[in-house]
Amino acid sequence: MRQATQIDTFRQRVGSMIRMDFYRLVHTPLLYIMVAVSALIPALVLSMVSANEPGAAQTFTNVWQVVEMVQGGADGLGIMGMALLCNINMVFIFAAILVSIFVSHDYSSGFIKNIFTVHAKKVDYVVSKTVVGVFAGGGMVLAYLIGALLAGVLAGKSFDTGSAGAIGVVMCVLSKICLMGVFVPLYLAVAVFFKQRLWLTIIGAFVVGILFYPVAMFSAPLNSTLLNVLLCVAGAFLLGGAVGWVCDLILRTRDLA
Amino acid sequence: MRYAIETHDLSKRFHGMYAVRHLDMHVPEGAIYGFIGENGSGKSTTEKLVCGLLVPERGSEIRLYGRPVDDAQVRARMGVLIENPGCFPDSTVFQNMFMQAMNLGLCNPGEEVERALGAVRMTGAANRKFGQCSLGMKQRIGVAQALMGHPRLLILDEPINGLDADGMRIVRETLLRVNREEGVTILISSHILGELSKIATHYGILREGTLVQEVLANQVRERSKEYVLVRTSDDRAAYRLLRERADRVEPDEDGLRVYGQTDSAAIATALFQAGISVSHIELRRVGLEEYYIDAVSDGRRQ
Repeated sequence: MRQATQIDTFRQRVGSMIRMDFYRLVHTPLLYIMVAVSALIPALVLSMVSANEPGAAQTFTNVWQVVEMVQGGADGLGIMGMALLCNINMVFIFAAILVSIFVSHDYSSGFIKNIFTVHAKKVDYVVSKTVVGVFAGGGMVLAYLIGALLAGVLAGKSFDTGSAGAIGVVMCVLSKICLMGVFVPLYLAVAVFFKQRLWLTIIGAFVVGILFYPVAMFSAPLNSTLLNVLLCVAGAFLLGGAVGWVCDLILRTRDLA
Repeated sequence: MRYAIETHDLSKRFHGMYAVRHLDMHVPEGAIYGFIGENGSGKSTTEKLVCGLLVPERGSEIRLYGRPVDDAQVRARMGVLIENPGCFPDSTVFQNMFMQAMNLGLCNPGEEVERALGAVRMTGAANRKFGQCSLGMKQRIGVAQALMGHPRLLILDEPINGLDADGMRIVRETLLRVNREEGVTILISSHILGELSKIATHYGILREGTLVQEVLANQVRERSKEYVLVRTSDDRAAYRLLRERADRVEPDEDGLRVYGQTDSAAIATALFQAGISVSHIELRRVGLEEYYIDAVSDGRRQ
């Protein structure tokens, strides 16, 4: 009679929830809007920063400056002023919006009742949302990169990687994707704390995102190496795991509905 | 007796005020347990506690089929509709149901969604956005969602709210069918006591967070008092006359209720002999509503 698969193990429980969350993610316009925004931002950064900064034409001479700065910043790829903040790290703030809305809607729609009434444990929810959030955040990082490349081609900027090298750029992007594993649990903790209060969730996630912004900047510069990637992975597992534990604690000790 | 739901000393406070107080509830396996109580009596809170959506006070105990409330194996076979269906308004009915089917880990989610929607005659609404459905449709979709994966235990909070007569009949027939054919235990709360009395096998009466009474539906029927409803040409004179012959006579919006004298022929004869003509006479039984009001009033007096 029962048509359910066996869901004895943690892996089976989390697996079914991740499948559900991915299904929801790809069927929500929010993902595509955020990816599109991430792809458009580099073009805006190129045009707006160039228009507002003194000595505009010299602000961005190289397309990789829109992506990330080189550690040290003295080799010609480094830039100063507000342009320092206008780079791929902004995606971590966009991820805050995505995670906030995604989790907050679980509460406001009442879908959270469906999730937790059945076999799901609180930790399953944390793991599933983190995996889906990292996937979406990773997609936004790649969208930003593609947007920067296209904007660079259209604007006729230089593609010279300088001392960073092509490998450095690849490692930088990989590190940023791995760093999502740190940021998404942080946003998740804020979201499960504020539950269905979407605006408080977004504001809280913004604050947390800005507090941890330097981590994103300095952990993965443009001239990253495999060591940066490994450190970001380790950071995601350690810090992400610790914050995930806090999320689990919040969910276990507070009323859900 | 094996219980599908058993609570011991279950309590829950909100801002220091008890919503549920030391509740010992017993829902037998295979029962349709009607949960009755006025607004704010703690029905929804109790159901949320059983569903694991609220954190109970220390010392509270909830067991499902004899196992702890957080046992994943037991919880995997629960279907729930609490307050309103948990669906995303911008997603279609099918997408919402499909997500829940995935969450349940069902092997054939698409087929199961079709089957559940078919059970409540909502297949035609599958491609409609949930937010565009009427209240009645939403309730039926909620019931369908709860029925997915052939649950062993259904917890339904006001599932017939907002339903028209046909919708109520469909939900009633569906619940009776899953109870009889699949042995599903159902905990159902509703303010529509007439509808509840058509399906419930057990009742739990709640007042101010305390369980006043747990009783079998058969016992309610047995304990229900019979009375004769009589409508006459002169109710005032009839009242004076019948008061001497019956235990109790009460005016009713339809006439007079005569308790303790159920021989309607004798009543009609007595009235006729006194020169009072009878336009209507009928033997009636006190319903669930009256039983509930009596139980709650007794609870208040105690």
